[in-house]
Amino acid sequence: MTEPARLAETSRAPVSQQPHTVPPPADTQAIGGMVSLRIDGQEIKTPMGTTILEAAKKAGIRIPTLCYHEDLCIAGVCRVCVVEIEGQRLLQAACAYPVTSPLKVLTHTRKVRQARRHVLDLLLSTHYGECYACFRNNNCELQALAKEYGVDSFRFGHPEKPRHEIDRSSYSVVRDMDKCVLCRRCVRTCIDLQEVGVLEALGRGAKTKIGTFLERPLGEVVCINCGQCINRCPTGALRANDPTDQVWAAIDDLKKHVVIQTAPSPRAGIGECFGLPPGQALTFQMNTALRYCGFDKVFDTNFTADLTIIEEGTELLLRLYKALVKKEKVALPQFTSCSPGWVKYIEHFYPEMLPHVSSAKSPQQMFGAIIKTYYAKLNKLDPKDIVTVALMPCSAKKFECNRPEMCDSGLKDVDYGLTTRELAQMIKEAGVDLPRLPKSDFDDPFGTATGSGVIFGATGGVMEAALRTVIELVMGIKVENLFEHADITPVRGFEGVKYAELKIDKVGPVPDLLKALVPDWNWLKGATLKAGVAHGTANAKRVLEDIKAGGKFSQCHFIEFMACPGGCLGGGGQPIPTSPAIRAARAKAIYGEDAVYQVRKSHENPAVAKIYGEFLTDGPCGHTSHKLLHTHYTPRGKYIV
Amino acid sequence: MGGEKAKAVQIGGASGRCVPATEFSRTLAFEDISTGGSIIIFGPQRDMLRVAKNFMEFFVEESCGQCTPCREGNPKLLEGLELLEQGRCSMKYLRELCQLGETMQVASKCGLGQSSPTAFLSIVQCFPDELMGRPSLSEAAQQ
Repeated sequence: MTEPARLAETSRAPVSQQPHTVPPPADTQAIGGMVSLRIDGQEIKTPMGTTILEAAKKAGIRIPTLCYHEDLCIAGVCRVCVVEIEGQRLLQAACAYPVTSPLKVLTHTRKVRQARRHVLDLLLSTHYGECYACFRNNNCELQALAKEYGVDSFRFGHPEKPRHEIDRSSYSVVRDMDKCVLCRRCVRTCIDLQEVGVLEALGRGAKTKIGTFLERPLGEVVCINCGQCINRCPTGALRANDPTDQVWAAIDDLKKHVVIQTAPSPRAGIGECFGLPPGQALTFQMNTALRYCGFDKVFDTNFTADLTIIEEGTELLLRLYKALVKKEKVALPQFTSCSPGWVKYIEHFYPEMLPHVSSAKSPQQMFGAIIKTYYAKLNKLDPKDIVTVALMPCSAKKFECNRPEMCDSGLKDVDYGLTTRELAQMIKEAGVDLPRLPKSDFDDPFGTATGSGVIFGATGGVMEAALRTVIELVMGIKVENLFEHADITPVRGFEGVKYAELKIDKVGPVPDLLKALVPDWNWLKGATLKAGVAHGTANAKRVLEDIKAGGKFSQCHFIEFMACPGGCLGGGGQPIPTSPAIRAARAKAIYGEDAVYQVRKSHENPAVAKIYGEFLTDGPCGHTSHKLLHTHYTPRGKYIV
Repeated sequence: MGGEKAKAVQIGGASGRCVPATEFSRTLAFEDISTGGSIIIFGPQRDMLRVAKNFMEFFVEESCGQCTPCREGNPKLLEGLELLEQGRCSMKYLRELCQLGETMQVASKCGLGQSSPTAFLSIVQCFPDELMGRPSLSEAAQQ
């Protein structure tokens, strides 16, 4: 059913900076496939071309790093990881030195220790700020290194005054260049990992600084707000725009009814902020903590994730009907619209392809609109007194809730977007130890959610949820008949681009919810549904280019795009640090949650059926739902006025 | 050319080493003092502190700014020379700067950073008396 998708390599990173300067050997068993080296007297055998740093890591030897990041190409600029190689006068950066011949490496000689200490002293001589007034306190790589190397004074001075203005122009990302140590991780994230290219090192020598196009504020450039740079910044130079003060103020205001919706990814990550290893979901402990903080109602965004599946699925079926039966010209494949980073990406870089994007809002915005209309009516509340907070793993959601078009309830649909890190801070401020709290469930009337909503947090999740529903609603058979435990594994996993096909060999009795949409459903019989999945805007770009070139993905019907590597679980609001292993652990937690849900398919969610019965009475993609649950996009383009 | 009593020779341009008069018997060769490019001869009236400062100003300007030792180290060395000029650099700090220079020589990413402190180090080593003991600003004002 699936095959690995191969697309043209379009990475803009220079070849010299690619993760592996020496390609790994095809066969490690062949002669010359392995090389042995000695690190601090320990004999290590490693594949040819492995860096000293990786070899040391495998052997359990610690070499400190700063500019190195597992997700990024190599820079070798900070010089913290320098080691001595016997027979060489110069110290070498362990992160950038591929082993191609037997070496004797020493990691903590006097020369090495002195160099590292000097590098740290030099970095601290330009790093302005006090640790206790920084959100990265106790989670800062520079601070940790200073401790590791016993920095007790600023040998080469310490800035006494700020030299840069803090850039607060973006709804999502705050840049404080006084704390920047010029490791260029954000630059490599933006250019190489995400292929957006907003941040770049400007100037030379001591005048070097990280900046944007013409040094414009971040809110005015083509930044997509994905926040991946925040997750990879070693210091507090980049952070999310923090609304916790406003949220606390709303909670303290007794006239306000403060509700919070929680997305699936934060619960898989928040434990990391409380010292737990990655991959432990704390869904129900978090509910207790939120009530303890003072939120009046705690809802599950999964409810609107289910709603999104129904709306987006219906939109897809209508587009297919128009294309296949009426032979009208419609934009296919349809793209998902759940990821606000992705939406801003396509608005900036491929505005001509905006008709492909589903008009359905993201689950966060659907929930906001429903809370201020349906929920307000149900509970006889004045929507003006309701404050909706959205707990998201995402920095771009802060931008999304501030979009002017997101006011369909007559007010701002979602008032504040809170990241996982910010909520962890609030919970700590409330003085509770999250992992040890008792469990409690979500509030009604949206309490019930399905496993399909939970997996929205991982790449491929939206597609899996959609396929589960399509199989059951259109084909009239149980997903379990096709896939064991209803786990649609072809769309799972961290491969950058995925492709799957589903043959619709049977059209079953279509339920009442969809029946009215088209006069007859037999046109779908024999069709093959082709679906694609891409995560990270670099992969999204590849798919879009493939579509433009008329490649395989132009034949697709539905493609899921997520701006962040790994999907929402790797979002820009998730706990720091991030790495492939951490994201894999979070994904495991998310799929683990899905597996224990009793209801695992969006259309089986009783609350969804209820809202279509009571409120959205003209059905999916009907008039009310169009007003509240759908939106439009702005072709922004790359040029900034 | 009429020059007399040269007190130092800079061998190999700004990134080379500065040889004092006492070592003029040494050989220009790969085995002794290797060179490349230029030779600069300093007359007796030349202020070696100004010479070192001139070189460091050049390297502060030329550093590309990628690696920490060169980007941040060169300005620190220049700052040290300015302190010496004002008579405000302690022996301890000067030793610290020399150690920093040694670190820059082995830990910088490219040849520029690896060789930029060479002139500074050799001038500090060969002309300590000329560099140190300058009147501080207040003393100069009194005079």
